[in-house]
Amino acid sequence: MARMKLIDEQEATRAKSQQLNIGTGRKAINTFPAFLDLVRRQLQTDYRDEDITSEGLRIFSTLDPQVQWALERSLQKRLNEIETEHGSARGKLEGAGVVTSVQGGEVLALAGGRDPGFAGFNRALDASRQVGSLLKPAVYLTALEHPDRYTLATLLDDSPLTWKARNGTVWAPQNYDRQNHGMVPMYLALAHSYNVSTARLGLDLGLDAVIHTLRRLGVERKLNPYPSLLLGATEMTPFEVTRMYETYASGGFVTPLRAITAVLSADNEPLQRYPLNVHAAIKPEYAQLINTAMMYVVRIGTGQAIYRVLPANRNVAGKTGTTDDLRDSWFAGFTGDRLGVVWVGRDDNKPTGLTGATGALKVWRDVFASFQDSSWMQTVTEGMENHWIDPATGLLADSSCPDAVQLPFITGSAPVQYAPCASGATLPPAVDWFKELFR
Amino acid sequence: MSVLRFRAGLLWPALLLLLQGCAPAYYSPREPRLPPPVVEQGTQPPVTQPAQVPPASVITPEPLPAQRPQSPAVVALLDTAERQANSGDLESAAASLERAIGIDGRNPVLWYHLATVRLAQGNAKEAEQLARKSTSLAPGNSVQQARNWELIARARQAQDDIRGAAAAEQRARDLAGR
Repeated sequence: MARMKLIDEQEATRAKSQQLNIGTGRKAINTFPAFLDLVRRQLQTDYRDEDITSEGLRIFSTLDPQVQWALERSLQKRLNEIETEHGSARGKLEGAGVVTSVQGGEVLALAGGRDPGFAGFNRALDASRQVGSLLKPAVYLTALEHPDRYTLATLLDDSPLTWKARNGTVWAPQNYDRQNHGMVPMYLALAHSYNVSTARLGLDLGLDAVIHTLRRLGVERKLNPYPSLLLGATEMTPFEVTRMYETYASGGFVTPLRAITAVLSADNEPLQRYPLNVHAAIKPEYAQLINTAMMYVVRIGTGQAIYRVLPANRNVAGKTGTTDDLRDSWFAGFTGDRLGVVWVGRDDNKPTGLTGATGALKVWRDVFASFQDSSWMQTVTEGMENHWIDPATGLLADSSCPDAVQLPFITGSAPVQYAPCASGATLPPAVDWFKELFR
Repeated sequence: MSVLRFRAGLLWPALLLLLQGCAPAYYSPREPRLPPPVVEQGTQPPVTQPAQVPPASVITPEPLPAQRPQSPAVVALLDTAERQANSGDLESAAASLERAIGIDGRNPVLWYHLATVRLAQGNAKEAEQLARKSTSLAPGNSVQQARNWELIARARQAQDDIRGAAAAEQRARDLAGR
């Protein structure tokens, strides 16, 4: 630059003496550097560098500053609090998050780390981390796509499991609480995130079938067909996880996540649109079954701390994720309007002492408490019916059964037998919510 | 490094201007910012509540999207899209509909109109997917579902899928007869 007379000799000397600072990032002058990073990457798939850098392109993004601020604030506040509570080293904990619109796939907010002004490593896009139990819904969905064999009430075997590979290696997954839980209906096994019953279910279905489901959900990266995949021993970035959960949240439609809607020239000539496209990947009925199970995760399972803050009448569907030795803490969840995915962990991959519920869930909850979102709800009625079920047996319940729950079924797949607790007394008919509304 | 710096120097101000000038940035700077979507119910519960959660069996769903009051912004965007489509500017009409979906994504009517525009643009495959999306959001609404299946029939005809088109037409007739 000095040779081109762009800067003088003195400035050149000073510049040469400075460190490059690669990897440590720098305080960017602009706001939202992590989100802009995504915008730049999505532009670069369609524009050459010189197009982007030429002056005057007008880029219309999907950013919602209110959501972005809420996400940044929550990440900072919660990670500070957690470090104080745990008495752990300050500043070691990191996090990332993505918030999108459930139906349109618009990226509303993206945080690449704890410090929102930091324009360096973007964890939302580049930190590949083990996903743990976030993968489990794909195993259950694979099963639920065979309503002749599996329903949300089907009992799964959670007794100890030892699986031998052909080469002699033994795999014996354990539950987080180190207990086994006998026979558990499917919706409860997911709600409590039991590893053993999930692993057994996945092995029965076959790894290829589960991988096929993950592909349909929009997972593109390489997946190793090892049994540990069933419990999430595979890495994804928070953005990739968001893509997968967007398919659940949108009722089975793969919806590309867009940060840009249009690019105009300096004189407002439209250059390029980034249109909204969807692709039906999972039948809406099956999406509804797995989303109902994820609603129970939040109502009665590992995600129930959500309702310490969110109003009880707001339905949320979601899943916690915790990896070995508490290295990664995840929460992915959606309302009727928005999907959020949060990751908390350390850059050096050391244990954090956090589960999905004690780390990422708290950040997610803060963010979503600031919204007035509508509830996640069932949207399919044709070909489906609701029944009262006794969780202990997975059979039909009546009002003598104290713990009866209402579950949706593909028509004709529900159990026909009554549970022992049933005495013939009648429960209010399982409401077909939407037909009721149309009366 | 100088190349990188050069890039950053020009790109970021361009982005920054847009992002700050018209937040949320998908609104055109020449138009006033749209009002937020209408809140569905008159009173919203307080954000913080005690840790009491009702048993899952008594969860009550909210009204269907079709029964929600339509936000004035969505109505205005629908009008705009119709005007644009009628004047032959299909791409702008699609953009308006996408903005409306950004506000009220669970409204099956918006997805149906977007499917119609895509079909008119000759994009039959996408049109069918969008019509299916509309159907998935219109439970119990046989009128909307019949419309979607009619559109799917036309989309399949456009792709020379004669048998598929006939099947879709039959479904539309069955639904219309309900």
